[in-house]
Amino acid sequence: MIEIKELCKTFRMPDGRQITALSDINLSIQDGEIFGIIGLSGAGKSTLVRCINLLERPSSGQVIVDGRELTALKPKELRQARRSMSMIFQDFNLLMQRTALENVCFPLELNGLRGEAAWRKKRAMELLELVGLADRANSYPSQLSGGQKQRVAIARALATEPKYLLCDEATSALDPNTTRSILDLLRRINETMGVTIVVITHEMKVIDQICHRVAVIDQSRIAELGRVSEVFTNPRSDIARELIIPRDRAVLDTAGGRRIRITFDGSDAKAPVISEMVLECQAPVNILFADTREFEGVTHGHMIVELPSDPRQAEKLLVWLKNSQVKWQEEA
Amino acid sequence: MLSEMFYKLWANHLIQIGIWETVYMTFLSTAIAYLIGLPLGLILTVTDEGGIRPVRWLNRLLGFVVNFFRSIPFIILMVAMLPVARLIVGTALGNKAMIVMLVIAAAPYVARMVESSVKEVDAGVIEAANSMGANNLQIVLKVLLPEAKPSLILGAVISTVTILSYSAMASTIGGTGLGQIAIIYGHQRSNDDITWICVILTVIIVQIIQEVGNTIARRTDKRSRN
Repeated sequence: MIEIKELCKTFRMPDGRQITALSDINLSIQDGEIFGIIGLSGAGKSTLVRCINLLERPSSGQVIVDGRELTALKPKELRQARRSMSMIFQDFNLLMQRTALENVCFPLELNGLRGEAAWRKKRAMELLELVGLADRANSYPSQLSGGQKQRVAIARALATEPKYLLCDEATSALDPNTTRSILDLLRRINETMGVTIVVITHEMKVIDQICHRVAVIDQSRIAELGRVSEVFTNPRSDIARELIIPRDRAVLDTAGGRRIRITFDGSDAKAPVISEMVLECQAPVNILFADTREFEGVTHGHMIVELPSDPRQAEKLLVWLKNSQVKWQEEA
Repeated sequence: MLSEMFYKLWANHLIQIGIWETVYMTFLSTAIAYLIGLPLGLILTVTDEGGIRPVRWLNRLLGFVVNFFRSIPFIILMVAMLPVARLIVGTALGNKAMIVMLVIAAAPYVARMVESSVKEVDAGVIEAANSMGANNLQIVLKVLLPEAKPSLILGAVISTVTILSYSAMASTIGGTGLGQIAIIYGHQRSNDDITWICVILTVIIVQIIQEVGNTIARRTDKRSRN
């Protein structure tokens, strides 16, 4: 279990100003779960994940991994502890002058004690097979695609048989299809090897595809924390709403009228609510945005509609929604 | 139209020996300069503010020493360092003294070349090694040096060529090689053809070093797809 207690991190800028990257962060990540940390860029999420393996030292607060307070460890003990917490990165960070196989061998070489070259190669080969890249073992990173590089990075991260895998924007440089296959791989690793995974991202689709729980970070603080299905269907913070449906979408800006957000929580997601509403009320609405996802087999959705400019017609629609027990709220 | 002097020098193998001595002095001096400059450059990188083990005072001190030696023109440095040569190799004249001079002049230069090569290594890769629990020595030996290798080789080529040009000046303290032949037989005895032949031979040596170095660097670099 990873516990973060009252963690703060401030940076001192060259001109002497203090910048708060994280303040009063409290969370605990359970063994075996996939925990997501989402926020806009600059929210402090990358700093937070680096505080977990102490690549960044917290200004105050504690990071406790399996009961061990990391900030209290000696450098050598910390290096040892890091071997149980692997990390993958947005830019993959592979050694460019080593082949895929040699990259996977790298953490094993650092571990000096265990086995010789032949054993390392065998183990590295098994890992490349696991990530589906055995045939590219002797390729250099420059000869691999982004998705393949991230697979090598994942194989490398798993080499030391870590208990935790920290993913810092691991799919942000990849296209949607590759993103999906990398996320599937991560989920498989979680399910079959029991590795606890922490996922840092700015994309809601990454969270809802693989995470069990999510913490939403905004302006250096945790704005919201809970099961992904809860946060998605019933976001309590502005930032969570914004991440689910980005506020700055051009289409939303062009619409001038009163807007509401309708949320579907499974039971009625497949019912033709909008068409029934329009037919029964004889009032037109303009659908600005709609999105549905599945969590644990249940469909959830969000829809933003623009109400008719005639206030009486608008009121009629809202009454209909209320009577039909559809959840909605005013959209700013 | 070559002068009689040229045929005499050629028949006595003086030009051939001159070529060999220039090449030999240059490579020997470069090798010794790297023995000093490579660790020095690594220390400069590692102890720098953004390095893996910042040590402000050491970085400042070494940086000052390096800049000090680099700011002195070689011809002056050579004269000033004569006592040092006498101390180290027992003489202030000839090839032994010349190697000392070349090393003193080149090592700081090499240090800066190494520093700039190693600083090109992506910070993300160093961070990744750190996240895997690598210690600083492992980062230097397994990340910084191998990842910077192609750039280090190109730097070594530039350093070698610079040392070659210094070696010609060292003939003023009795160093041998093409520089000495150009001055004694060409300039001082007014045989312009000898001077020019030495120049052309030097140009050819430089071209060969550069081409071979470029090829090795290109073959070593795995960042290109070929």
